[in-house]
Amino acid sequence: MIRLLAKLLKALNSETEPGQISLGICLAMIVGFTPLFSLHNLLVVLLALVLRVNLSMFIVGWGVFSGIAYLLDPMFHALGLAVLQSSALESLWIVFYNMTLFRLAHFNNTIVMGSLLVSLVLFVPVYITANRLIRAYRDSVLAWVRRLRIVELLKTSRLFQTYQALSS
Amino acid sequence: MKKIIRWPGLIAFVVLVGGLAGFWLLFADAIVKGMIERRGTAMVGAKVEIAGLDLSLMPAGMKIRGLAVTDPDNPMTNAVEIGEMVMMVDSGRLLRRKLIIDEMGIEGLRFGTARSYSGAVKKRTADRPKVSEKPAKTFDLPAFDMPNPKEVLEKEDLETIRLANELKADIETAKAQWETRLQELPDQQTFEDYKTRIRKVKSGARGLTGLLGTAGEAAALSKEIKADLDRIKAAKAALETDRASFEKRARQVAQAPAKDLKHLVEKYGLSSGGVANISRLLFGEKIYAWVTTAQKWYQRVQPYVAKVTASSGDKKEKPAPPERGKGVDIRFREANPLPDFLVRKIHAQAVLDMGDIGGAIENLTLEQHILGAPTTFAFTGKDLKQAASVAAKGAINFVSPQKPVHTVDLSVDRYAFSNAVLVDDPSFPLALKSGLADLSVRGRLDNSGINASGTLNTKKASLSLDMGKDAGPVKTAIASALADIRAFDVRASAIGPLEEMDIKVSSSIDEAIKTALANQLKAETDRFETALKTTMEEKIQAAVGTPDQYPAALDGIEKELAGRLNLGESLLTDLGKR
Repeated sequence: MIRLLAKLLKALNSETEPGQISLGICLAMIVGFTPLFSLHNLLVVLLALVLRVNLSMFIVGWGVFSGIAYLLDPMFHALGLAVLQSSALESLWIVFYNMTLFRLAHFNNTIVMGSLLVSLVLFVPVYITANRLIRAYRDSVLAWVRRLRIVELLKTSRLFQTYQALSS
Repeated sequence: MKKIIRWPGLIAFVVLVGGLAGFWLLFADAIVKGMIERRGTAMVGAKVEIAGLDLSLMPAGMKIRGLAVTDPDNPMTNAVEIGEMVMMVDSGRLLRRKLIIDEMGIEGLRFGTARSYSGAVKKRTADRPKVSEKPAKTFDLPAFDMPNPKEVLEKEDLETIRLANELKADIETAKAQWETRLQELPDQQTFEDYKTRIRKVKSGARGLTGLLGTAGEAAALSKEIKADLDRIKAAKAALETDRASFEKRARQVAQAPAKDLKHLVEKYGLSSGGVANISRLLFGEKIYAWVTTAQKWYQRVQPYVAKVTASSGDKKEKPAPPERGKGVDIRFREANPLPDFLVRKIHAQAVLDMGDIGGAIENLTLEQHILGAPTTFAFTGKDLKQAASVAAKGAINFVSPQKPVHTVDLSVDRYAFSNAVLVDDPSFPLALKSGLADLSVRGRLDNSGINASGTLNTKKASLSLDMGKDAGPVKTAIASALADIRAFDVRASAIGPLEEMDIKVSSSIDEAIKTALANQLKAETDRFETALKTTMEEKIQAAVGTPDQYPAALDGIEKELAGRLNLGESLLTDLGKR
């Protein structure tokens, strides 16, 4: 856990591109919001591993978004139900329903549909927002944080030493 | 490109997916076995166990060995036990989340096998539908021996005593009311006063002048006396009405013992209806138990059918809130619609006590409305250990979920009974030692309820009733009549709503018993009636005496009124002689 936190701190403070951290957050949002054993999550995990995404942020984000998903579950169901029962989209869903790939993806489940839609809609806004926040943190907050007495104390902690060891 | 792609990540992905696939291949058998056991146990409400399970990928299939489904009502017995079950799965459809089994083979299907340990589950899971538990219907044995009249009368309230006590109380009340009323009527003193006034009138009527002077006074006095006499006459008439009413009731009380006697003889006596309708006693409980068992299993399956058919209703209809994180699967029109679970054909071989029978079950699914065909079954067996042939066929049809129709036809030829216990009651231990029976059952279950009927024709029968040393004459006569029976038939029907079905059983045994017992029953009943009548009369006499004498309590009042009336009339006569 300490090592993971240290990696996260390293990722946040290292030269890692903010875009790579933000992408980790966004991919974690898809995996966290939607049911784990869904076909699309295989693709998301593949992307998270193959693209130069910050994996620590991906793992931490996954945990955080899974917790949020539990709270948003009724909303996901309601949204998925509304979309799947939409008359305008019915012909599209019928085509999908008759395709093995989509049946395997379990798209006709209200939670899968609702949570996937929410995470896809939020993907770009979250990416941009996360990017800005990371930059703002590095530009203004980081220097101020480093000056804090508590941070100076923390530097003597085991977590920080692990972090330093990883950095070097 | 190198800056975007992390090639070691691809290796990690392959390792991750490969690991998961390897894990599945290694543990899939145990995982699927556990899933079937858990889900089955939740559905049945008692342990469902599998001895072994093998999955195969190419071709996709499964083999289950030693499947045991515990009877939830009898945890030391398996409702169903299957030796081996082999099935081939349509792998293409499996990718579309449909478990379609084209062929399934079942070997060693047994019913009601003993378990070495209890299959009860402590915690009843929420999955298990609630089956209405109603008390078992019992077909009580009729009394074969004469009851003791004293014991009968001790526990029975006689109508005669109740009526007599009511009459007595009413007469007492009336008597008290009349005594009060007597005080308000002209009495001895009133008439003495009239007498004095008459004397005065008489003494003043001397000479013509006196006579004319007292004439008016005499007329007024006569009028007063007549008015008083009218009051007494009216009271006397009312008293006579009351008395007539009480006397009428006293006559009813006098007739009540006969009614009491008739009621008690009917209730405790050995009626031909009670003893001779013995077929209901012999077969009623068993038939009821079979129908109830079938009903219970039907009630267990029915909610799953209702759930499946409800979920496939109008897509615009809002489904019930799902379990958290599970969601609801919405169905859409399919090019080739198929149920999510379907076994197209099961070849089964069942091992029964009477011998092995084989057959097929077709279209086993809960989603018949999608398949458009009912589940059907047909089993036959020939040259069995205990029967010449057996044939059973039927259909479980809820293709139209709102109008389910289930049918069954069963016929058994030359079933050889051997020491079959018909009545498991120590007071009437009846057994069919041997016999050859032809059985035919036909049943139908739909929204209106069950409509089933069956006949059992038995030849070469040998019935035996073990008689105790203290068996009464009726029981002895029954045993003798049963021992003479060589052939009999039984006709049974169960009709009506499942919860309140009416089971009727009749048999040629009834007629045989009725004929054999006709004289015996009459003699026994007469003897009981005589003894009961004597004991009852003693009890009534001790409790209420002679109710027909009760109205005599009003004699004194009647006499008093008559006396006053005579007194008044004699005064009027005296006044007239003036």
